[in-house]
Amino acid sequence: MRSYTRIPLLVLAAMALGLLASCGEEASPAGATAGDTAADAAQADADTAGITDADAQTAADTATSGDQGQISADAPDAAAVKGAACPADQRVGRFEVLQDSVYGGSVAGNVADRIDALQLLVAKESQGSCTLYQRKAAVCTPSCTGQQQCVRDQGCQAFPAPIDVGKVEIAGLVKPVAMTPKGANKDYFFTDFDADPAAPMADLKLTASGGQVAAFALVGKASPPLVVQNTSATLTKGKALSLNWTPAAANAFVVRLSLNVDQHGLTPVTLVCETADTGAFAVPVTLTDALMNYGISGAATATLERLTVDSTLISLPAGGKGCVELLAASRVALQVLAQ
Amino acid sequence: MIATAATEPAKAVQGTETMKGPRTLPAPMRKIPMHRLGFLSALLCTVAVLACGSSADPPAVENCLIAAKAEVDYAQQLGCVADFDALAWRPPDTSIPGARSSKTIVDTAQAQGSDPGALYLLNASKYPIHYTFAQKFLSGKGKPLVKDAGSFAAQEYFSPTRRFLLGALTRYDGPKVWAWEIAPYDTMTPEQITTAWDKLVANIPFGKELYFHPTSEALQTLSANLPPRIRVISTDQLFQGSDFQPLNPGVAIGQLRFYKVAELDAKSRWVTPRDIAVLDAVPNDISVVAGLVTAELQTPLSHVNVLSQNRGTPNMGLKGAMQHTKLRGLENRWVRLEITAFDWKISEVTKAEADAWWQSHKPPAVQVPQLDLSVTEPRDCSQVTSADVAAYGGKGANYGQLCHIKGLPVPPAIIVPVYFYHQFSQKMGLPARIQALQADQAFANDPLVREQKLAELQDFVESAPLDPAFEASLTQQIAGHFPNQRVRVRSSTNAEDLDGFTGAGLYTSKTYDPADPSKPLAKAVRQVWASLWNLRAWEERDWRGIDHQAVAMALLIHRGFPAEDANGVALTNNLFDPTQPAFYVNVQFGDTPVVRPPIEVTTDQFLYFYAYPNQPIAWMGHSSLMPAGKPVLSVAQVQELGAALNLLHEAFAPIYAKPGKFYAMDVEFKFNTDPGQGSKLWIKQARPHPGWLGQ
Repeated sequence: MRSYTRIPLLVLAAMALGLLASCGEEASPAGATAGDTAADAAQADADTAGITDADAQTAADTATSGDQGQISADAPDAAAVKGAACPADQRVGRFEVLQDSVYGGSVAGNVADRIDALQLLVAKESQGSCTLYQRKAAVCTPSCTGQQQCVRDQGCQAFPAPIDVGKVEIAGLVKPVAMTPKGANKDYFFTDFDADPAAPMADLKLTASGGQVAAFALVGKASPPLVVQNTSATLTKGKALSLNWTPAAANAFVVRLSLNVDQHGLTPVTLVCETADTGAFAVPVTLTDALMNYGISGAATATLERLTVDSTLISLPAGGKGCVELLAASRVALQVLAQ
Repeated sequence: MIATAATEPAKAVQGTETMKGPRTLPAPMRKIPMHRLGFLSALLCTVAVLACGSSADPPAVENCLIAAKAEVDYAQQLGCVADFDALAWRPPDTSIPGARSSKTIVDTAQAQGSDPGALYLLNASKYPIHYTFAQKFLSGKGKPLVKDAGSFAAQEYFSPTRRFLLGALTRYDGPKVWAWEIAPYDTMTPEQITTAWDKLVANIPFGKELYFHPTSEALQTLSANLPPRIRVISTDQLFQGSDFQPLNPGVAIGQLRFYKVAELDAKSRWVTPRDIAVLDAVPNDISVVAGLVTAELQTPLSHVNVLSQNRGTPNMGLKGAMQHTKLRGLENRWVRLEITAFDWKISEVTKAEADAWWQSHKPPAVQVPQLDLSVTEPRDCSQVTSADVAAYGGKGANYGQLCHIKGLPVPPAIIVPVYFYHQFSQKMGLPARIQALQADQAFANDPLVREQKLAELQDFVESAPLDPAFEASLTQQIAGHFPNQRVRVRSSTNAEDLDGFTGAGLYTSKTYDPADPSKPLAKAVRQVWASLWNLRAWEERDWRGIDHQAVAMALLIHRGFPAEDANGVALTNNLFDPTQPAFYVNVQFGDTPVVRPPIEVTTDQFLYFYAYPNQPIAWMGHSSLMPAGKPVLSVAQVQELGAALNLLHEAFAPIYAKPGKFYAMDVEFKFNTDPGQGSKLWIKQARPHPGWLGQ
C-alpha cells in the first residue's frame, strides 16, 4: 500500500467501507466518506461521467510509488482512493466547493502535470487524530535554476505546469456552474455566488470533460455552514487547545483543523487534526507545544473546516498518474494568538 | 492609461478621499508643485498632456493622490513622495538600515490587452505581508480564489505560471536610493520582472530614479538578463551608501566621549561604564560602556557587538562619527542616545537626569546556577546534557546536548566537572585571595590596579601545582579518547552560555599536545582555569552582578584542528527579519578569526535561506582574504553547514525557544582537512543568542 498523509480521514473512510461491506449496502455515489467497492466505484464514475471503459479502468488503477514526482501505473487499488483525499505525494490537482466565513462561496481548482514538491510535508509526530507536518527543503547540488525545483532523490525537475482538463461542471450547486481554464495557470473558478454555493447536504458531482487528460468525475456533499463557538483562541504552552462547534445533523463529514504559528507562507511546520463531526475537540497539548517549539513569528493562521473529500487517479499527459480531489467544505478562519 | 487615471483618481486609491485635480505635468513643469499652480495651470497641464499624447518619458507627477493623514488600504498610482510615505512602513528586514517599504502586487489575472495586469501599492502597515492583502482584496467576487497561505507562497513566489508578481518598493534613506525588490527566494523570470517593473515605473513619479535591487545571489545573476532600462543596484552598493548601521538598538544615557582604539589598546585612556564611547575604529574588545558608536561599520557577530548584546549596550556604526558636528558639539556632555533599527538621535540631558536614569536602569543581576560538586568524574559528552550546567558549566552542558543530536558532526569530547576546579581553588586558597581583592578600595576604583592585581592572581594560578592524581587520571583518559592527538582544553564556567548571559569570549582555550613537551596538560589546564580571573571576565561579571565566588570552571576537551580550511560563526535564525527564516553566517578563510579579526580584515557574511526552495543566498559582505568573487565556502560546504544548522536549531528549540522571544542558536564551526581526507565540517559550540534588545 502507499503511504498516506491523511491517515485519519482514510481511517474513517476505511471504517465506512467496512461498515457498508458488512451491511451489504450499496454505497451512495454522493457520500464522500462512504465508499464503493473498487469496481463499483470505477464503474459508477464511468457511468455518470461518460468515461470509457479504458478510462474507468485507469481510474481504478493506482500506484505503489511513494516517491515524489510522477506516479507509476501499477498496483490497482481504486478502493483506497475512492472517498478519500489524495495522498499528498500523489496529488496533482484539487477542486474546492467552498463556503468560507470571510470570503463567501466559491468554486475553484486547477490541475498540474506533476506533483508540486513544495507542497509535500513530512509527518514528524502524531497523537490521536492530529499530526505535526514539517516542510523539508530538498537540497540539490548544484542548486536548481529558477524554473526548476529540487525534488528529493530526483534532482532538479521542471516546475509543475498547469494542464487543461476540459470543461468542468459541478452539479448540485445553487446555480449551474461550468468552467473553462483561465490564464497562464489554467485556473478554474467561479466566485460570483451571492451566498452559499450549495444548499446544506446537497449532493455534488464534478465532471471534467477531458482536455490534456481523460474525462473524470468526483463527488461530494455540501456541508451545512460551520458554526464555531469561539473563533479566537490563545495558544499557550502547556495548555490544550479546545474547539467547539455545532455538529451537522448527518454524520457525513470530517472536521479538520490546520494550524501554524511560524512565518508566513512556506511555514516550516503545520499541525493538522482530523476528527469526527461531534462538535468538540481538544488538540493534544504535546503537539501544540511541539508546534510552538519550532518557533513563533510572523502571522499565525488557522482554519477549521467541515468537509467531504473524494479523489481519483488520472493519466497525466507525459505518462504516469496523478491524483485529483474534490473538497467540499465550510471553512472558518480562526484568530490564533500564540504566547 | 495616464489620462484615464487622471480623470478617475478615485479608482487609484482605496480607502480614502483622494485629492482632486489632474496629476500629470508636461516635462518642463515637473519641478513646480501642483498645488501652487491653481485651476488654470491644471487645465493647461491637462491640455498639454492630451496634445502631446503618449510620451517616452515616464509621467512627471507632482500632485499627491492620497489626502494628508488619510489611512488607505492601497493605491494603484503614486502622485508624490508623500503618497509613498502614506503607504510605507519600516520593514522587518533591517539588514540594510534606513529602509521604508511599500509592498507591490501586479495581478496578472486582471490583464487587459497590452496591460499586463493591475498594480497595487499596499499600505504595508496594515498589510505587512502580500498574502493577507491578496486574500482580502483580490480573491473571489469574479476573480480567481486566493488559496491558503502555504499554497499562495508555493505558487506566487515559485511557479512560472503564477498569478501575482510580488515585490516591495523601498526607499533607502542612507544612500538615498529608490529600489524595487523581490523576495530573495522568488524565482521570477526576467520577463516577469520586466513586466512588473514597467507597470510600477509607469505609475510612480520617481520611476526614473528607480533601481532593481537583487536580494540574493541568484537574482544578482539573473539581473544580467534584464533589459538595459532596468537599472540594477547591488547590496554592496547600498551598503557603501549607508553611513549608519544599527548593531544593538536601545537607549543609552551617559557622557559622550571620543576615543581612539589605539589609546585604549595602549591603555593610555580607559572607558568607564557611564561613557557613551565614540571610537575611530572597531575595537576587538571593550570594557563596559553605556553606549558605543564606532566610525567604522561593524559585523553583527563581531566580538564587540556580541558583548554589547550580552550587556544590553546600545551599539551602532556611524561613518564620520569622529567628525560628526552634532556629536562633537555634545562632547563630554551628558546625553541621551537612542538607536533604533532604522535611525538614531541624540540629545543633551542633565547630570541629575542621567543619575536618575542609571538608578532605574541598573541591569538585573544574573543568577548563575549553584555549583554541583556531587559530580566528581569527567564524562564523555554523550553523558552530559544542557541541564548539567551546575556540574559541567554552560559550554560543556550545551556541548553535551550537541553530542546527542544524531547526524550532527560534533567532535567527541571529555568534559571535566567544576568539582576539580573547586578542589584546586580550595587547596590554593583562592577564595581568601579574591575576598581580599574585593575589599581593596584601590582595586575597586582604579582599573589599572584591577588589571595588575588580577594578572598577579592569574600568575599564581598558572604556577600552582595540580593534584597529581587528577593530572594522571585525566592524562590517561585523554590518551584513551584521543590517542596521540593534540587536543584543545576549553573553558566551561557556570556563568557562560546561559540563556540571557553568554559570557562570550571571556575565557581562554589552550592546547595540550602529548607529542610536544612545551604543551603539557598541566600547563593548559592551569592557564584555562587562570583565565577565570582575567580583567575582562571580572569586569563583565561585575557589571551583571555575578558573585565571583560563585563561579567555577569545568573543562571541555576535544581534538584540535590543525588544518582549518575555514572557520566561522552562524546564527540559526534571521536576526534581521525573523519572519523570513534564514541562517546568518560569518565565515573566514583558514584560521583567521571571525569574531576578533585583524584590523581591516573582513569576512564572508550572508543570509542562507535554507528552508526555501533552491536555498538562495543573500550576500552582506565578502572576505578580504579571498580573491574577488570567490567565496570562502563552496556550494556543497554551504549546504553541509545548512543541514547541520537546521538539525541544531530544531534540537535546541524545546530548550530555549520561548513564545514572543527571538530564538536562535549562536554556533561556532570549522571546516578542517585531516590527512588523507576531504574537508569536513565540525560544530564546536552552540549557545542561545540574546537577540537584539528590540526582539
